[in-house]
Formats: sequence, C-alpha cells, structure tokens
Amino acid sequence: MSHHLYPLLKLSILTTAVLFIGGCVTATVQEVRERATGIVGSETVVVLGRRSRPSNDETEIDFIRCVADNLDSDSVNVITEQNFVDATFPWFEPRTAPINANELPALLDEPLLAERLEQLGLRYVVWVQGKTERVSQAGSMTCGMSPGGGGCFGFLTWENDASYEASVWDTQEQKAAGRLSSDAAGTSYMPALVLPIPIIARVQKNACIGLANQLQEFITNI
Amino acid sequence: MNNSWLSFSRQPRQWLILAAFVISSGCASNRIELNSDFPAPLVTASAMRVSIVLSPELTNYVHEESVARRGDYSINVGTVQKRLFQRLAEGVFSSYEFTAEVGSTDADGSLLPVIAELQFATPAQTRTDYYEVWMRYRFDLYDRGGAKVGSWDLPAYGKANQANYSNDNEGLNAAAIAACRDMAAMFSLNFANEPKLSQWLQAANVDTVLENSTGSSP
Repeated sequence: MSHHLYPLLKLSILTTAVLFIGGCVTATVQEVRERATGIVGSETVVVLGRRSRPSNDETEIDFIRCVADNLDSDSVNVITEQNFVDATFPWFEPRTAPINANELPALLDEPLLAERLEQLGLRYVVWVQGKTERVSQAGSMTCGMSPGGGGCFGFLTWENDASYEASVWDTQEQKAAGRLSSDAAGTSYMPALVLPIPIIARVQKNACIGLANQLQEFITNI
Repeated sequence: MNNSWLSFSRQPRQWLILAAFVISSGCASNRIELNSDFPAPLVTASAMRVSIVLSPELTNYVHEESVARRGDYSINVGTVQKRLFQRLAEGVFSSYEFTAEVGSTDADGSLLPVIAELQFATPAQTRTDYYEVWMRYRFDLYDRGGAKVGSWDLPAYGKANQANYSNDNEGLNAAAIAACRDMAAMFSLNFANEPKLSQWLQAANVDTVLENSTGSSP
C-alpha cells in the first residue's frame, strides 16, 4: 500500500470512530403509582399523543412511535396509535378525546365503543405529553469552496432538553393507574477542521427508551 | 417525431431556459391534493333514510391563495369529499344514497354539504409550530319534496406539528386531512342533538328511536 494512503486511512478510521461516539446524556425517570396494575396475554395497550387544542407542546409522532415500539414485547401487546384512533373514530380525535380519567366511565358507557375496545382487548391507555427542544446553542462554523477543494472550520455546540410525562389509564378499573415522567438533557458538539464531525447527544431517544422501559415495569408490575 | 421537436432538442440554450422555468415554477407554487381514506364513525346509526347531494362545487373544491414571500398555494380538498361522506354516512345513517343535485327523493330528506370557507396558516406566518387549516362546512337540509327547511354550520379545524413534516405541502396536507376528520367527528357526535337537525328529522317524520344497523351501499 502506498504511504500516501495512510493519512486517508487514518482519517476514515477516525471519522468512523467518531460517528459511533455520542454526546453525553443525563436521563431521569420517575413514577407515581395510584393503584396496582398487571396485564394478561390477550390484553393490549395503546400509546397516544395529546393532540387536543390549544397545545403548544404537542408530542412528536416519532416519539410516540418510539415509545410504542420499545414497549411492545412478549409481555405487553401494543396497538399502534393510528390503528387505534381509526378503530375508535370519532371518540379519540383531538376535539373529542377524554381529557381526564374521570371521563372514562361515561365514555365506556357508549355501547359500540365499549364493544370495539373489548374486541381490541384494550386494557391500558397511555397518554404522552411533552417534547424535545433546543435550550441553548453557541459557536460558529464557516464553510468555503474553491476550485482546489472545500472545507469547514469552526465549532458548534447545542443543548437539547427532553421532558415527557405519561398518564396511564386502566380501562378495566376505569380509573387512572399512575403517572410516569422521563427527562433527559444532553449537549451535542460539532468541531470542524476541514470536515465537520458531529457528536450528537441522542436526548429524545434516551427519553423514549427510559419511558418505555419504565412503562413496561409499571404495567407488568414485575 | 416532427422536425420542430428535433430542432428544439438540439438547442442547449432552450433546454437551460426550460430547466430554469421548471425550477422557478416548482419553488413558487405549493400544490396539495388530498388523497386519504377515513374511518366510518362508531356511533349508533340514525333511522333516517337520507339522500346526500354531492355537488360538483363540493367535489371539485380547490382553495387557491397567494402568500407574500411564500408563493402560491393550491389545496384541493374536493378529491376526498365523496370518500369522506361515504364513510360518514356508513356510520351515521341506516340508509343513504348519493345524488348530484337537490330534488324530490324517496328518502326521508336530502342533505347538501357545502364548503363555505377554507383558511390555512403555516408556521412561517403564525410563528407557532403548527400548520393549521380551518374549514366551515354548511349543511343545507331539504325535505323529501326538495324544499329547503334549514341549514347547519359546522366549523372544522385541523393542525399538524411542523416537527413531523419536512415541508409546507406535507404539513398542510396533514392539517387538511385532520380538518376533514374533525368535521366527520363533530357531525357524527352532534347529529342527534343539533336543534336544526332535530327539526329536520321531525319534518321527515323520523322517529327519534335509533337503530344499530349500519348503512346500505349507495
């Protein structure tokens, strides 16, 4: 191998290594249990985002999907949000969905809805609120291009903060079962010396996995 | 292939002008054409047999608007109206049919949906996170002889978080579909309680007893 290739090889190894390095994230998960929970094989859970108006912190669809995917397991069967709201239309639309758990008994008195929920095997409704936002950023980066080549120079940093809360409603007991919260914060960096190298703190992903794991423990009560 | 096309295709300058035109027109206009299915409402069906009048004004409804520094917007909501009202009727009425104009009918009465107004907003305009669509539906109510007996205004609202969509077209499409669903939801839940509709039901001599049967095909 030619000696000219060594710097390129080193650079590609360094880039690959950096891509696998993430920024640091600190995550906290808390729960408040209001009653005993448990789930059997045929029962299901749905994770829904709060879409009622007015709401300035509507939860990202990706986050709801992430929690549902991570919660779905051998012990907990999860129905997707879209399938659930379509199957129960028009009872869980933004303007018609129940706001508090004390609205559950009246809702479950609707005969066709109750029958549909029984078909779905629905046991728990998990309402998720919150979002991830960028709370601060600093630094600068300049990129240029010339006939001889191009590149960037500078340093960027930003901090993301994720804060989510999940309320768990038990449709069998027709009451709230408890609340869980997942908070995560992390700083991402992007140094650039010719090539920008992003070191991303996966804040939302950490909050999602933390919440899904805690929900699984909460629901299965193990 | 004719000679004029051959002479055009050999002129690089004309290709450049054509490319510039396509690129510039693509940036300046946002064309949204809804294409979605809707769920049938899970409500107890009314015993009323209804004729639903889907006028060309409804099924061809396109909202066009120019927004300063953002370009032209065209939102075609007419394409989904037939599907929307078919699903709505499947859940809300025990028997229904579709017609194109108001007239005498064998049904208990006729319902003419009209989109009276549509407004939209993008996050760039409102400085919020949301694409928003407001629609005002009006339902003109006719007896079986084709005489108008009243109207019911139903506002509908849909929003879509910009965090979930990559551009104006996707965001407004999602908000407009949400507004259509909102109309169907509010119609199906308020149909039995709305005073003007109650009068219409009484005029049609329809018993207020509701059936559990589902709709017949149009």
